[in-house]
Amino acid sequence: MIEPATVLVVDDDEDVLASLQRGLRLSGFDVLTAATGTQALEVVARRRPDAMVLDMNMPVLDGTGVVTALRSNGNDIPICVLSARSTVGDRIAGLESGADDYLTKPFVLAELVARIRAMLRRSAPGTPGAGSVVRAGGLELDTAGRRARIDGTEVELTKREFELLEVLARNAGIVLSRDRLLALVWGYDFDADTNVVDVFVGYLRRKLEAGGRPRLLHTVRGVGFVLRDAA
Amino acid sequence: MTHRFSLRARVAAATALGTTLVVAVLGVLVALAITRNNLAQLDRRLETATQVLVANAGTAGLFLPALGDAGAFAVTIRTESGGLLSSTPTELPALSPGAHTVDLGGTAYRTYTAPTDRLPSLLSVAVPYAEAQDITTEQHRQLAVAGAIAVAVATALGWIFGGRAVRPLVDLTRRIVARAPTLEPRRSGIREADELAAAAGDMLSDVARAQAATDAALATARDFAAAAAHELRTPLTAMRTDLEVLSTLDPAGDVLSAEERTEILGDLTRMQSRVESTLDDLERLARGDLSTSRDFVPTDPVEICDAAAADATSRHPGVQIEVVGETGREIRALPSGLRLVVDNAVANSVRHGRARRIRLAVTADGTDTVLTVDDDGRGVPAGERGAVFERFRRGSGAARGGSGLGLALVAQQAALHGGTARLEESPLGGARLTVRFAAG
Repeated sequence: MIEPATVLVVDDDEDVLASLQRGLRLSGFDVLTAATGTQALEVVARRRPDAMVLDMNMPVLDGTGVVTALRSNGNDIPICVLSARSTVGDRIAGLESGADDYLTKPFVLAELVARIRAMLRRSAPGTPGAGSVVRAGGLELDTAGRRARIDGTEVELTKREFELLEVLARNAGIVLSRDRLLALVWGYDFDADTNVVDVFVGYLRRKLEAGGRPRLLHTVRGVGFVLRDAA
Repeated sequence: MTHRFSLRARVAAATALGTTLVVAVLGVLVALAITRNNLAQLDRRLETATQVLVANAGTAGLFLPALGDAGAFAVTIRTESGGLLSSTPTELPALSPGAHTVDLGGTAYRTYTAPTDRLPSLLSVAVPYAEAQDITTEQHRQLAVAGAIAVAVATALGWIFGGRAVRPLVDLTRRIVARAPTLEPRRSGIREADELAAAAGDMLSDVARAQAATDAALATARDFAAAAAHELRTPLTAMRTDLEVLSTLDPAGDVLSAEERTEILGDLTRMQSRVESTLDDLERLARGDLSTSRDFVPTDPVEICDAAAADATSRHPGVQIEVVGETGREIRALPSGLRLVVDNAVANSVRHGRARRIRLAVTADGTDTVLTVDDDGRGVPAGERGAVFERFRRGSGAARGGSGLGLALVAQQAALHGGTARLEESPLGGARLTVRFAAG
């Protein structure tokens, strides 16, 4: 192993911070900690960590605020958010503003470690190849500029949303299972207990179907998802 | 099985029934009057005819038998003893003077008999009774028709006015069914309907208010449940991570140093007691929410303070606790609630304020009783003095491991006792908690 990756853990609870610091350090990461959102932004600017574990529920500047601030500055650091509530719906705070994945407290440390490793692999520099344009139906994806257009209208997508849509568009007409999508988009080669794919498909649908456009991303029950042109 | 009629139909039916009764009674009386009147007229005519004939009885007696009366009239002259002197072919029996009704061969005749001057005799004149009867019957028929028309008109008017009277009720029903936002403004001009609309409006707004209160209570309960879940999940997350570190990352016990292991076990123990105290406080909050007026008994706050101070002194040996106040002044209170207030105040001073000296004072302010807890600790920053009374809100200087419910419990108890709780600066240098209990 060359140099251990640096992970920033942000949580306003000292107990959680202490235990995660210990657990992640023993799992082979360099761990930085921050107890507030403001502190987290400072550490990111100063120490440039490779990944971030972010609690959503913090006073003053909360997790969503941190994600929004980082993404609007063009910072693509992989972020796994910690949600305290087992949300049944697809509204997980932080993901919509650009976080990559989420875990519900309390979680298994090994699961967090596996996800951080996968996120780090995915974000390793050099992967983005030559820019190309992917077209599927009325959809047009410019992978170099990471811009998406549907029927000529620009759609604002977060990094993870764009990557998921790109994989589905490149495989238009082919049904992809959740596990396959987790592997292709999130780099999860392990059995991850998550519905993050469904959550992101929900976000994409909301954005792509805005203004009454027909459904592009279809659920194939019991199998997965497929991008299929309505026409 | 009750039959259901519309109010309008009932009004119309009542009108019809009432009119029928009145018309029937009046009709019978009028009919009787008509009968009597027609008979009296007939009698007067007969009397006149009799007087004319009596004056000419001698002449009349000669040709009476020759008159062909064809049953349309009859004149008979008899002696006082009843002997026949002269008669038309239709012969009348012997009659006393005055008006009579007699039956001759199946036909009713009305007669009038008067004495004549000549040969003391009696002259009777008769016409068929039917003459009066026909007019009477005709007039009775007209009367009946008029009565029937009156009943019909009254019923129709009842139907029309009943409908008009019922319309505001129908309208009100429609608006209630449609859940109209307000029932007040439409004035129907019918007092009962307007009163009903106002009463129904009041009731509906009461229901809406109760519904809103229930919704608000449910929303509060949901928020509280979410906050409570968060409070419990947080230490559980840390505990789970620590346990995993011990069991997975250091299964053989050779990765962690002895100090690290001790630290982790210490953390685990502390977090376990944190979960426990959160649960205890949640239970106390729930119990406070459920207390009733029967739980309130006369209680001496100074005695409560004394007992709490004695317990706290043994629990926190280095802390000096003093109680100021006269015993014997009782207030209606929850003894356990008062004790909870004092215990939490002392625990906060020691744990979060790191106080070495605490003074519990009970004073009277008018009819109110005021409990003051002063300490020489670190105090509470002015900007946080209100917020720390909220559930799960911790001060910036709070020590680790608190449930975030201590002062929320104090505020709840103060409210249950009709009082208030607030934080200030203490003359001892730390924080002052003032809990005011209203009298009564």
